[in-house]
This record gives sequence, C-alpha cells and structure tokens, in this order.
Amino acid sequence: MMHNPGRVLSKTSILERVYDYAFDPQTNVVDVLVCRLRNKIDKDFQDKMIHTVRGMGYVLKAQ
Amino acid sequence: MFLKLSREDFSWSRSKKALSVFLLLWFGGLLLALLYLFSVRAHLQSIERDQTEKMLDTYLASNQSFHRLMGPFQMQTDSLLHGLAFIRIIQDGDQMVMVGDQAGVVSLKALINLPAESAGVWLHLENPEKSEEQEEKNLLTVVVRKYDNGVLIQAGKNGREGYLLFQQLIRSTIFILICSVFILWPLSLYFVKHTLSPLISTREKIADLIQRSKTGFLPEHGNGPELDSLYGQINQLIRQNRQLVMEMQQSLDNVAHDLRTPMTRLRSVAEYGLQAEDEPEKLRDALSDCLEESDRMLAMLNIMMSVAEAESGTMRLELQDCDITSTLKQVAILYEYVAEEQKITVQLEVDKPLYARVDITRIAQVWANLLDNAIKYGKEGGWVKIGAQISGREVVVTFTDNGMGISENEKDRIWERLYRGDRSRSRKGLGLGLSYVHAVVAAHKGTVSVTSQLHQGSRFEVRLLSGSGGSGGSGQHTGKIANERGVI
Repeated sequence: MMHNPGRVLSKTSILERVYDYAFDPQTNVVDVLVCRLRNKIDKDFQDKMIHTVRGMGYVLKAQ
Repeated sequence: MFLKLSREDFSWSRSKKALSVFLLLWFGGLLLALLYLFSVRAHLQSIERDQTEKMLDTYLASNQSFHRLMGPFQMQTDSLLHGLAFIRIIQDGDQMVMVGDQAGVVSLKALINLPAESAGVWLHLENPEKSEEQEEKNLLTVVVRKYDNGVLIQAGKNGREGYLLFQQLIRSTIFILICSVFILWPLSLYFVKHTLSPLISTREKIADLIQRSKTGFLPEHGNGPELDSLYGQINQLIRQNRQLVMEMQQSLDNVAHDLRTPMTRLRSVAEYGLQAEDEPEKLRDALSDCLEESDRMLAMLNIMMSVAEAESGTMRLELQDCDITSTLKQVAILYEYVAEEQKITVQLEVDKPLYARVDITRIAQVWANLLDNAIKYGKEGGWVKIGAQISGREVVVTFTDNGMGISENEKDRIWERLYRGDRSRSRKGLGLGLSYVHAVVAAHKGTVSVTSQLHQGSRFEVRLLSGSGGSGGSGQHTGKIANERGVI
C-alpha cells in the first residue's frame, strides 16, 4: 500500500503481493491482517490512514 | 440342414470371416481326396500286378514244354500268350521276345532296350519313333521272375485300361472338389452366422433397450452362461451411468439453488439502489453490496469449475518437485493472525524438507483449505497440529485439531460439493473447500482421508507420492515472503 498511495488494492491482490498466492482463500485472512496493521498505524492518531473501500479493498491515503 | 441366408450374410465382412472356415473345410476335403486317390492307385496297381502274375502262371502251366527250356529249347509260336502282351526270356545276354496279338501296342525295339530287371505297373516304354499321342498306349504292367540257372523271365500285360480308369477317377475327384466350393461356401457362411447369432441377438436387445426407456435392463438369465455374465456387466454399466446422470442432475439442482440465493440478493440490492436516486451514499452502498455479492458468486463458480476440472481429469497441473515442508510453513504463516484471533495455536511439527512432485499453487490451496477448516471449526483456545513425514513412497501430511469434529453420518458427505454440515452453516463458507481438496489430491493421484470424533477433534490425512527431491526453489519463496512482508 505504501508503494501505491491513493490506489485501492483488492484483498486478492494484497494476498498475492504479500504471500505470493494467487487464490482466494475465502477467509478473512486479509481482514485480520489489515486490522492488525490499523492497530499499529492508526490507533493513536485522529486522522486515519488506512481506509476500507467496501466491495473493493483497502486504500492508504491521508485524509 | 435348412440353410437360410439373408443378404446380410453375404456381406463383405461376413465373407471375410467365412473364408477361414471355408478354406479349412476345403483343404480338409482336398486332403481326404488325395489320400483316397493314393490308396485307390495302390490298390489298382496291386490288382494289375496280381493279374499279370496269374496270366504268366497260366501260360507257364498250359505250356509244359516250356519247362524244357531248361533243357533243349522248343519254339511255341502258335500258342497264345494268354492275354499277356509280351514274354521276354533272357539268359546270359541272349534274349527271346514273344509278342502277343496286341503287337501294335508294344514296340519290339522298346522291349529289347528295356532293362532286364525292371518291373512295375503302368511302365512307360520309351519309344523315340512314336509320337506323343500314342505314347499313352505303351503302358505295360511288367513282372519279372528269376530262376536259379540264370534264366530271367519278364512278362508284360497291357495296363492301359486300369490306367485310364484311374485317370477318370482323378478327373471326377477334381470335378467334385470344384463343385464342393458351391456347397462349402454357403455352409461356412451359415456357420459364421451361427457363431455370430449371440452377438446379433445382443445387438437387437440393446437396440430395443435404447428405444424403450430409461429404466429397462438386459435380461440376465436364460441366454447361456457367457451372455448372462456379459449382460450382467452391461447392466452394471447402465446402472453406474444412470447413477452418474442422477448425481449430475442433483448437483446441477444444488448449484442452481445455491446460485439463486445470491442472485436474488443481488437483484434486491440493485433495486434498492435504484430507488435511492438522490442519495449518493445509499447508491454507493448498494453498488458495494452488488460487488461483494458478485465476487462471492464468482469465487464459488471458479472453485466449482476447478473441482469439476480436477474430477474429470482435465485439470492442468504444473508438476514440479517441491518442498512440502516449505509450502506448509507458508500456509501456517498466512493463517497466523487468523488463528490468533480465534485464540488457536498452530503448531507446525515438521523439521526436514520433504519432496513431492506437485502443482505448488494447487497443493498450497489444499493446505490452506484444510488449515482454514481446522481454525474455522476449532474451539477457542484450541490447537491445530500440522505434521508431515515419509511413509514408504508417500509423503503423509496430517492436520489434526481438537475442534468440533465431524459426526459419523456426516463423514461420508463432507467431500460432496456444496454440502455443509448442520453446525457449519452459521460460519462463512461455500461448502466447496473439502470437495476441492479431494478433487485436487485425487488429480495428483494421492488420497485424502479423515478420522474424527464428534466434539473431540478431527484428523485429515493427505497422502501424496513422494518425489525425487533435490530441485529447490522453495527457499526463494520464503525469501520473497520475508522481503515483502515489510511492504504492507
């Protein structure tokens, strides 16, 4: 996401990039992952950096 | 025998089959005819020889003075030769020839040149002066008698009659052999027809079966033991086929049913979106819902197609030797956080690399599905153990958990497409994971089995043929993960 600020990344593409897996595991692997990431990055700040785009994926952008 | 042959019986293929039978019969007949001719010939010749001997005896007996040959010799020109064609008396290089009344038949010159001791039936007297046509007439049956004082008597009889009889016999035998073709050919065609009759009746029965319905079977009794067992096997095939068709119909029904629900949802969401014209927020929501729903359906269809592909054997596997241990590690890392959320610990009990020849992406998906299930249906604070070892020529990978387990009557159905156990319906999922696992492992010529105790846990065991090992590449994978994990 840091390489693509402002671009919406789908769950599948995140999974592919990160784990080198080209499949949909039908689970919340990525959701859990992003949730953890949020805890680390956004938790202590007012302005959130990681946003969920419903039906599509996640995006990293400054508000 | 009543020969009834239809036009089909004279067809080319039948004729080809009948040819061998025909040739067998015909050659048999030929052999018999030859044997017969030879024996007749031998018999005729012995009769000829006996007759000549008898004639010579009569001649010698009736002509007492002949015995004085041993003393002073007396000519007997006037006496008849008793049917003999010639008598030749030889003593110390001198010879005397008496020729009977059939003088025209025997040539003196040829007689004089005849070797002294030659005897036999139907001897050809060589006569260079005569033409070939007449040669046939010079057939003589010759016998020889030797006396102690060096006298040799050679007597000959005209053997033409017997010879001509034999010639006639040969001709008629050849004629019969040629005529027998016209009898033997239909006979062999009939024989072939008789041999093929079970096949023909089977064909008619099957044609009848095809016409009739989807329920009929071939009669399994009263056709003779061979046909009965054949019909039994055909019936077995038919049964399997019908079962298959039924299963396909059923799974099609299931698919249709499972697709209808998300489709309906999709439709209602779209409707909802259309009604909320002036509210961009609601529109956005509806669109997002549509996207999610269609993604789900797409995923479901994709997996279903993969399963179908693997089951029908048309799945393209990119087989390569790879380290099973490293793929298990990757999957364990992937599910690390998910497991943590559920408060389940994943223990990877593998240390050394194990090689097998697999399609790495598909097999990783198999591991992911099995681990996903183990975590999804595990209980809070539970554990999942992943083990792998070599057993004979197989790599055995096990996923053991202490989760909710599978009940006895569900156990056989878990591999079915779209089947979801009653207690699993509350969880997210399509009911395709295990059928995918089963199909992919089967496509790798491996096996997957489950042992489970309700409420105690389950143990899934995958057996894959172990590979030669050596070719790495897995190390690269791990490295890549390590590198890119920092990116997120």
